Amino acid sequence: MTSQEALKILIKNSTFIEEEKERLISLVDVMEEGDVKALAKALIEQRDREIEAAEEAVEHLDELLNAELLIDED
Amino acid sequence: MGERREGLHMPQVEESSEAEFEAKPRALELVARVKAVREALAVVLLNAEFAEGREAVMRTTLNALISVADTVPGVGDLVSWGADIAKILARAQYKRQRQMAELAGEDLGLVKMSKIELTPDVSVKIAVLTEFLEPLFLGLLPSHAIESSFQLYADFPKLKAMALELRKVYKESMEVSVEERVAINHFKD
Repeated sequence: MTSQEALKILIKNSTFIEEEKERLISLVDVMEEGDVKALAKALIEQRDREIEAAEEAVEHLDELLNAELLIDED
Repeated sequence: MGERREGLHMPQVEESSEAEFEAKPRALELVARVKAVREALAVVLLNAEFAEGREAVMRTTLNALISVADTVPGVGDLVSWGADIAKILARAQYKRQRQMAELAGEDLGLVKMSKIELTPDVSVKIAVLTEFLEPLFLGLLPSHAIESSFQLYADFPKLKAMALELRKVYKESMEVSVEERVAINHFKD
């Protein structure tokens, strides 16, 4: 897999709207290697943060749901 | 200036030096973050499963605020009675709209109760009778909290459904596909 191909996958899986994903993907082939790596790094870091935030949200929701289940049992 | 803004929005590769491009991912990251929040909100706002939960959250919040205000003698009673009057008016309007829809042969399911009715699962009788407990407690009893509690109990299934749906959305967003994992590893190696 080339860096360009890998970056296109990252863009495809990012939270950008479809239109912007297409615009970014169309630019990947003309990007320099340094730019490809910098953008990939930013996207990976962003993805990590999103996963972290989602994990935290799930944790809070689980707490809420557990509390609610206790109330239901009463 | 306009060109620079566009550059922040998406990379202008042909003009970028390595140092200049370093700033762009930060802008892209910010845009992505705003979009992620917007998309999450869109999921909550557009999903039918969330519609009932959303209303339940709004009701619970407003009822809690009214109940707190209701602890203040005088002003609190005004707010609490205001909610009860709104309830009576909303129900009268709902009844009238249903009658009109029935006469017109329209779908009764399309007639919705007004949002100003904050305790739709509690009868008018309970809402009004609890107000008469107030003088016994010198206006300090938050009587609106009684009907709010009944409403909250009725809203639990809706709130739970919303929480479960939200959990599903977050869980899905946490999933990293094999293809994505390979791409991430390509840059980490």
